[in-house]
Amino acid sequence: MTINVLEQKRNVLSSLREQAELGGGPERIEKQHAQGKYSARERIERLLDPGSFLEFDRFVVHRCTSFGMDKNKYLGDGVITGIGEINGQKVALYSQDFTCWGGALGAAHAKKICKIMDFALENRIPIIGMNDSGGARIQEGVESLAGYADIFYRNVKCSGVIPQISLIMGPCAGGAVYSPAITDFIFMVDKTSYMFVTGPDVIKTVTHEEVTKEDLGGATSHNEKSGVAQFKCLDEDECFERVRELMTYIPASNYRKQTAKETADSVFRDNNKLKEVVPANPKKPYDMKEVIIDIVDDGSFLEVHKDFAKNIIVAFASIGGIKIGIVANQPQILAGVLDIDSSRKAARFVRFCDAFDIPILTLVDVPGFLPGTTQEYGGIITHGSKLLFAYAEATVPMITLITRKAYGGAYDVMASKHIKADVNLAYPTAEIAVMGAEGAVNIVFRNELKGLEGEAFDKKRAELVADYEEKFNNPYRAAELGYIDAVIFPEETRKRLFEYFTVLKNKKVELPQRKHGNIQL
Amino acid sequence: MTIRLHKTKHKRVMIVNRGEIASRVAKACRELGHTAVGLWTDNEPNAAHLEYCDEWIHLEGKTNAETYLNVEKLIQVAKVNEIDGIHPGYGFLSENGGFAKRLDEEGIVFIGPNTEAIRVMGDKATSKALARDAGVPVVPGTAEAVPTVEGALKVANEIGYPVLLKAVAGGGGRGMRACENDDEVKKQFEAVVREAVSAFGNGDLLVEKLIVNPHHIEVQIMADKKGNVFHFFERECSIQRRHQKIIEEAPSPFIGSDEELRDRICETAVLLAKTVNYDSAGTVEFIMGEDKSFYFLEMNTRIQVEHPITEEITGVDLIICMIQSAFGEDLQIPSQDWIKKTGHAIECRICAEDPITMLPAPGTVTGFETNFPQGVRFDHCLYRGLNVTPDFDPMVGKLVAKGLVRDVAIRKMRAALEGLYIEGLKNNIPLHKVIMDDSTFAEGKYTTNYISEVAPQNKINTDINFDSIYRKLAAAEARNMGM
Amino acid sequence: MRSYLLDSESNEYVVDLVKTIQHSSELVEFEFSAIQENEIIDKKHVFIRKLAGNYYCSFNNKAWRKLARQHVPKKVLNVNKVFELYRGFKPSGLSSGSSGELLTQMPGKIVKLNVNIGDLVEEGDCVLILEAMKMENEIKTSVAGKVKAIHVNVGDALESGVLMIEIE
Repeated sequence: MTINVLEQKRNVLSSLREQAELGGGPERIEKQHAQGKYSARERIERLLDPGSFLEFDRFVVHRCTSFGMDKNKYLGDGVITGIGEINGQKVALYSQDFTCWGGALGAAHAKKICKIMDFALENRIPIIGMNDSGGARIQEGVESLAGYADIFYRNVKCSGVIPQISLIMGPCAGGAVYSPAITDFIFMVDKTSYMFVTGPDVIKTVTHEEVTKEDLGGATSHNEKSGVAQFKCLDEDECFERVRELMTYIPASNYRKQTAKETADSVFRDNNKLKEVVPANPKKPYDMKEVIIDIVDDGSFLEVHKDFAKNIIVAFASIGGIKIGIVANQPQILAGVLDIDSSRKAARFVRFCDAFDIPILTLVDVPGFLPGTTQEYGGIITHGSKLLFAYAEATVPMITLITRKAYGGAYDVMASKHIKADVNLAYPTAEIAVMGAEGAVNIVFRNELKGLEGEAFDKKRAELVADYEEKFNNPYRAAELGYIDAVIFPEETRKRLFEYFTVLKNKKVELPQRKHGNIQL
Repeated sequence: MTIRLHKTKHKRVMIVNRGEIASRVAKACRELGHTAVGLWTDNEPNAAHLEYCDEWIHLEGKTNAETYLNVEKLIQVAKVNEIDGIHPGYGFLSENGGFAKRLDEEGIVFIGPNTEAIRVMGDKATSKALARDAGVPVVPGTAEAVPTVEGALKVANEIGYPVLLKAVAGGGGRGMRACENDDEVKKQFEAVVREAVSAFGNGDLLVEKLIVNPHHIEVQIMADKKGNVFHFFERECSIQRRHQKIIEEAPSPFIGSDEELRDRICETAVLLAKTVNYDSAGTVEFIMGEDKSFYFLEMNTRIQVEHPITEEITGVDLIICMIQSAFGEDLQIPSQDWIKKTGHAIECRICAEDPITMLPAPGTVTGFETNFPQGVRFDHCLYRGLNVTPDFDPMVGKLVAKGLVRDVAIRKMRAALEGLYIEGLKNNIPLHKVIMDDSTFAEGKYTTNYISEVAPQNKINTDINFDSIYRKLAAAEARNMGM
Repeated sequence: MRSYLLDSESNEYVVDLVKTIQHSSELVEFEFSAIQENEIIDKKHVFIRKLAGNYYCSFNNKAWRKLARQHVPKKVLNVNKVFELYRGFKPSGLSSGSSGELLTQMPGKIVKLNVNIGDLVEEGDCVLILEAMKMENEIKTSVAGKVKAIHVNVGDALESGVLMIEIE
């Protein structure tokens, strides 16, 4: 008799579990598949290490009674939350289920998300959010809005304490976008995801602009134009892979130090390829990525924000197993100048690395800031100095390597010694000066050149330029003053960087006590 | 510090080699109660053979020339470590008369034949002359080196084409060229001289008749210092690539049950060995044509790679005999009649090379497991993490299978190859598997042209075996899940 | 979760772990599929069970075979090819753009045009040189194809965002 009752009780649990599995039902799941999207549970399965997912709040349902909602309940209320492992590292995650009322957010839904975020924060594990939602549940009224705000508050509370990653796997519109915006990294899936504050319909009525959802807020627009998203993935599988790859470079929280990355790449190999990479002709560009590839372990680095502000590269990599962040000017694009977009991109990255104790390597080849009214009216003054603020405020180990140009204010900004980079290196091809020879000669030797014309002018000018170049277009002035710690041969780069980063592991620096600085946002 | 007692038979034996042969010799030393002293270099600090050695000595140097081939350094090390005898293994200094002589001078026993035997038999020209004088059939051709093209042409026309231009000091398939006619002789003569000078330091050439459809038959000899010379039957080593053996069999399937032929060839070998007052281990190599006529090729004055198959069919430990012979002891073999052969043994040499191109492929072993049937022996130097570099021989192991009849041996070898699992390092196991399945091999009627005629390497299936990949990944995931 | 097999000649296979079902604490089932160039070329269900401290594997939950316990191998040997095995993701390296439109990124002057309309170009070919910021910038195409249109001439001084060349 008792056995029967026990059996019954077990069966109840089994059937409830099965019911929760289905979400909005098999037809709706098929519809997702037809669009090239996985169902919410499949996404969790594919992202995490096999068999590692432990679900929370599977049987939570909403409590709304307006509009006849009480007759229509889904177990889990349209979002799946829980903890799992990625590469053995515990993570917390939530995955919105588009098959339940289009993934719309209501009070119970939001409460689940908040609960898992609190759990992540208290236990110092990263939180990953898979957004696939039509927006707020109108039926639940202001409770939906409150739900969103609760989430945003927690996003801010967690910021800089645990890494927060958002995957946009479907629509994310209106107020809902603020949560991903606050998180550290946004991954968008090409063609099936979009984010915007107001949609094309409203835009049409108000400003009469015609634009499609894809053009307005698709993965391409946010990766290339607005810079809101840091990763664009061809499909959901690639998205999961990039997240897994990212997780190998970032720590679980600001509380714990990173473990070494496994690599078979010897630290002692010479970087012979780098001997030739920086061209002798200073006017010729080269691909900074070649330099990065030769320095890092196994030539592999994860580039963040790849399609935005391509004149600067920010990436994660490792050297001799030590995980670092890399900021590097890209001379191939826009000659590697700093402008509004690149300053903002790099500044955010530097601050992320600083928050999570990730050492930073800066590779410098910058001729200056981009001139032009667009930049000036756009506020290059404020935005350009964001990078300066970020570097100056950072207390993580920082190593700077000047490969070629470092002119003017940009020299100061790109992690110079004066804003407390720990080790500053330069190649023999480095040129550290206030400005290039051409411009300098015009100013400094104005008197000598006055009155000369035509061929005589050209000859004298060329002479003066050559003289200036010989005297100032090298790293030795700065080295004499101790602003450069060492001028190194390109072949020694990797070995040296590894040695420096090893010593810097124990760096401890503190800034004066204050609530927080007033970074010019 | 061992306390030496009078009349102790204990000896300190140093093994100036590495890899599987070093392990093999060390095991034999231990069996006899001797101290096995092994060497290691910076190229191989975790060498597997050290496991079987009682003492380990570090040999400084980067290249083989500075270490295993450095006569003076080895003698110095031997003297410092009070070594009684040195076993050279095979390759390296095993047939270096100069080394043996130096050891004689220093009063250290060379576990190998006497210096004179090495000298006489080491040179192809003198050994051929000696064989001929002893009445042993030799390959038609010159016994002395031929210095000029004209001389070569004269000999070639005397003995008839096709002929082989062969370096006197050559070996391992190098320094030889086949010529079908006068033109080819004219063209190739200079080239072979050059190759011989650069590879062996000696440009002397012989001209010999090239035997068609040849079988490579060799006879194992073991002799002691008391004048006893025994033979341990023959081996057939016709399956070769780049003139290097990859599969050997004992007894020879070509000779088969022709006991008269067998006796004749083995006794010829014994006769030759007695002529040079041979002692220790040696192998007399013959080349046998389709018509069962055989000719002396050369004598290898050392223990050979393929000795295990002879040990399997006769039940005698040849390395033990070598050591006993070297120290003047009794081989514990009452007479030749006591040496009988039972069954059939096959050896497959497992090499770190691409199974299809058969070119060496250095790499690292990331996994190594064995799951063999009964009757299988594997002499190897493999371990997980072994880094096979171009400095050393690509052979990493010898797989030996024995059965009462040849078909059983083939079947067991097939099963053994299935059960030999090496991961991360390209190897020729797939090639051996195809050969074991091949009908020409099964019939036992193959010549030294087997590889080029049958081309088993082209029959290897290169499709990706996903099942094994799934298994590996599944096991790893299950482990991660905490099962 | 996908794992990648890459060999030194850029042959690539993807092994996709589609589903994991834990039947009990001693038995787990995995559904694998093998993908080559976006085509599924193989599918298998693999069962792993633990018995007396060892792992056993089966493809049909009936016939079992003992497995060597080991970590995910870094290299997998298949006859004559050694593949690097990457679990979970393929490490990223150089980026690859995919635009056939080449626009000026900054104000500059065209100093050299290397192609004509109708020319066939390979990925990475330098199609023109733009002098800007005192640098000779080699403008390279990130796609292979045929030059469809050239909208500029040598000597033109251009603003940023100008469409220079189209490649299809």
